[in-house]
Amino acid sequence: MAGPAKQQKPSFFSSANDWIAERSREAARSAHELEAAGRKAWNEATRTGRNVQAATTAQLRALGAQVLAGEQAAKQAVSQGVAAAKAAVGQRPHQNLASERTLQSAPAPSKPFTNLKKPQVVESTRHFEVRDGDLLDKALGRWDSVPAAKPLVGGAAQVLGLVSGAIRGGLHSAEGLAQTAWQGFRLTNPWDQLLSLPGENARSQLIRSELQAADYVADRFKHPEALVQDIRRVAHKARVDLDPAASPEGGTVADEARRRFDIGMNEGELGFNVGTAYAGGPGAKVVGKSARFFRKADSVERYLARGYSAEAAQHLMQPYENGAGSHYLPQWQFREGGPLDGVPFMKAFKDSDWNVSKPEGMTRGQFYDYHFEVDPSYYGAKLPSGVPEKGWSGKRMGLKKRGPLGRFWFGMPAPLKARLLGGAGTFGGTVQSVSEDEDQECP
Amino acid sequence: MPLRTCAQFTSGLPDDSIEVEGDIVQFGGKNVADALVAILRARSFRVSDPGYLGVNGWDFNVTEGKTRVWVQVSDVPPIFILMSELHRPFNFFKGDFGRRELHAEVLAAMDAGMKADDRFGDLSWRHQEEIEVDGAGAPAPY
Repeated sequence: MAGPAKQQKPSFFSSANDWIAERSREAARSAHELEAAGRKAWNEATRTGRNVQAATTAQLRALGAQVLAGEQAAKQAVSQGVAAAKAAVGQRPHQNLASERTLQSAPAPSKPFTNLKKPQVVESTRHFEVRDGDLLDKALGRWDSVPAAKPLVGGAAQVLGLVSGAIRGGLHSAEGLAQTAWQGFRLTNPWDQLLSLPGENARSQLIRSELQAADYVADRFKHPEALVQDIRRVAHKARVDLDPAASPEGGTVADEARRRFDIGMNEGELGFNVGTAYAGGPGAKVVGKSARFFRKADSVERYLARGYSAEAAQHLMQPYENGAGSHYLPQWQFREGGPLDGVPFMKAFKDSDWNVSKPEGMTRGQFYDYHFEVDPSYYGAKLPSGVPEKGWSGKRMGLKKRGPLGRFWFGMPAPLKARLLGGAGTFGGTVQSVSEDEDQECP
Repeated sequence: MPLRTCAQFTSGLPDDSIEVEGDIVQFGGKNVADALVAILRARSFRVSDPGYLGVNGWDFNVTEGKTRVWVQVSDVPPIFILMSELHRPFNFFKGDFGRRELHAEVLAAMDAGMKADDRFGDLSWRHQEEIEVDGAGAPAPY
């Protein structure tokens, strides 16, 4: 019969090895926590505009250590407060757990840490999320000890991010256009009110969003300092999102690759948006051409009623195809000696879809009407030689010129208008998103 | 008294618009603009060559330093419409600066030159809101 297995006494060396391995693991975990706490504090400081130095991993860990030490002090202060409160009311420990919990959850009294949210939990942020067991960590882990690996892999990841960001920009743009088209369809659909839940029909949503926008404008008009704060927050967010030097480098090669990939994605999407805003992407053309659905059909009677001949009416009813369109910023501004002469990219902008209104499907007469209304220096034009009347005149058509506000809005090409509204929406969305981030971290 | 910066007139110069298959591909008025440019250059103003503005017609700039007078000529049969604007340099400390008088000098030169040239007729100077208004107009821009 075999006796029980003889238990081996751990040798001095094996227990020492275990102890060292355990301490190393703890140290690694501790370093990781310090980095995470440091990054969180750094992100907070970026949003709030506080000046914090953490350009290297070591500085980041030092910052994390300060934060954790501060949290410890805050916890101790709370514990002391609880003990003092208990002593004051003469309670035995754990006599009233409910009041204890209330006291423990009260905010820490120490002022210096008020801008560090949720002090007892250090969470990794969106950009620096650490995914244990991630394939990327495994694949790149072996390069952590090579100093040149971080910038090289980070640079490559950023380039990959650029391409992915441009694709993401295209997808977002298409998504926005589809949403706009769907919303437009719902607004013109008489069944929308019946088919939608109360308060959820397109008209109500539009009114609600307009009221919210009006509230925002009115509020920021009353409190301009809040607008400055909004712009500052958006600018900080943009800096963190786009500038690799604006955030500390990742602790490992994998972290650095993720950070630079995110930045590359943001840069790529911004590049796509700027590119389409400048050159006039397919979306812009779609928006510009879609304006025809909102215009009344032209009629021969309209011209006959104003004393024009049938030939003139026939000429004016032809599609406006070969003209140069209506320029929003007048052409002379781009000429030699003009205010926009020599400004980069302005030559291409002058005749682009962003500066020229030439909606598809307009008749010549409709274009002349529109151009008369929005261009203060246009009064009429010659008609071709086969037409008895020599010229078309806005005055003869009974038209009136729009005022400065009308010219600003109705003279603006549809793509530019869409971009302006989209830009306002994006700004509002960004402010809201930044505020939501802060709300989540600061309940 | 504010300047009358616009004018209506007729011209005996030939119609220089270009038509292709019943459609006007270049609106007329270049020869009128050329004549006005020549009038101003003869009086020592620095004037650009006329530029095409599409349906609006033709325009040119009279410059002196950074001060500029922009002139547009539109063919709106049976008349031509002349419009002008003064553009002066601006900065934060001085506001608008440059020579305001340049505008009056340019308009006076065009007025004198057109009256002396029998290719132009029925010249009347107007404020912008008086364009195509019957009976309005004055014999001189000031």
